[in-house]
Amino acid sequence: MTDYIIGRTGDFTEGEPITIEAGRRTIAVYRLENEFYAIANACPHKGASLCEGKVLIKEKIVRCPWHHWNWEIPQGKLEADGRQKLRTFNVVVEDDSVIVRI
Amino acid sequence: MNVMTDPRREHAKRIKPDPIDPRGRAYKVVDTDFHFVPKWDDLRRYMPEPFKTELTRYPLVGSDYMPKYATGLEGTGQEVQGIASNAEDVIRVIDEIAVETVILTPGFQRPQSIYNPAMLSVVCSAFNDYVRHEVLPASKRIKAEIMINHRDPATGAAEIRRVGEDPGFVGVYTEFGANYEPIGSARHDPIYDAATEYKLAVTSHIGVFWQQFSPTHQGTRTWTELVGISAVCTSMAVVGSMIMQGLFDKYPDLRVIMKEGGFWWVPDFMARADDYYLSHPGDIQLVERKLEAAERFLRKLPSEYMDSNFRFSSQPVCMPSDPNHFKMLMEICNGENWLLYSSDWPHATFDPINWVFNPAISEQGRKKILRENALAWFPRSLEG
Repeated sequence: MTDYIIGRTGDFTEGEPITIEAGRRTIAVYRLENEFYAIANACPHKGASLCEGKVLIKEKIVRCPWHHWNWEIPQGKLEADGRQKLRTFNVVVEDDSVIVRI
Repeated sequence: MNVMTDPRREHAKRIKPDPIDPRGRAYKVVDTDFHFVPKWDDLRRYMPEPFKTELTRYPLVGSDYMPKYATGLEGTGQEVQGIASNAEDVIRVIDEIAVETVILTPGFQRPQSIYNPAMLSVVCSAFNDYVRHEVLPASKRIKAEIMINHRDPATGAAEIRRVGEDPGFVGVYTEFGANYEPIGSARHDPIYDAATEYKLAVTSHIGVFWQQFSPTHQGTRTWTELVGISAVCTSMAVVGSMIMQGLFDKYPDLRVIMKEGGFWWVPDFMARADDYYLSHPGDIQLVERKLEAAERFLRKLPSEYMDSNFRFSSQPVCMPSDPNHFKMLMEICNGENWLLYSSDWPHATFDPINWVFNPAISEQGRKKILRENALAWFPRSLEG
């Protein structure tokens, strides 16, 4: 298990992800209603960068910028078919630092 | 020791990822379907009066409500990735999406829905003139299709001959849709005469996907029915009309590209057409071209025209959930030889090159789909 320090909580703006390289993974980290979430950045459909997608903060959904697949960020589930999965990662906050745990 | 200085933790590198598979840049990709939408006022400069004064905007006749409900976006879904309105835009975008050579599809979708033939002809000519005077000269990486009024074959043929000498034009653009007559019938021969005379491919691209305007499709309610399913039916109808009405017996060298009409149906079509034809060939002699040639039958089996006369643009590649099925489909559809890569940029169905790196596709197939098939298929050079 590896911890990746993303930054301070104040570095985040609601609904605007910070995208990081963590080993061979590319991960988008979101702050939504003061909770933090991390998802794999590549849309499983065609590989679009989800960090470029529109975020619906209240619904906690990111809409793929290419084909509008709506992903529920906390669970990594597709809105239209919950069996379609997107990898999610644990996020913890310690001493005001946001950490993704892989 | 605080979190930030804990050596057991790594500081993540913040990045701006490029979603386009970087391996694609080595293949000199040819994109066979890229929608080019000049600024309307740029086209008006090429229009004669009274159209120049009166036609102040593109006469958009389609409905936009279906894509709006389906995609959650305003408008038609045709500007999702942006708009390319001039040569500079085109080069910038194709550099971004790892494309070396692009074939511009006239971006004004549904041109054939302009039922005023004079107006449609003016729009077609203005588009072609803008492209040949201000876009093609900008870069050899840009090629284009000639926009014509295919409902009026004589006018369409005249437009092909008017601009067809320009080597930057490599094809003739037509559309299939529920309220178009499939263009395999003999009354369209003036278009094929001109296309073959000028060594131009003929493309048939999805159009008028508001197919509920057709009695055949008026029961449809959803975007998936209209674009995803009905369009495949009308694409098949075009291929059927071309083969069964003897188009390729009259024009054996004619090369057709079907765009956005699906692909996985091809083996079914081939087996079905052969079976029906061999059992019921009696009416082939009754179609215009066969009467003209005094021939009773097709010169080949229907399925045999697929390799000699058709290729298919790839987008959208719809992946089956089982990867083995994708491999099987590619094999039985002869995908590595019959698919020409297309992005459909900037539409909501944009398909970047990423899927071509699926391990089910061989390295040789990858080269063919991304470049070589297009180079071999277009009668005119894509490299000059």
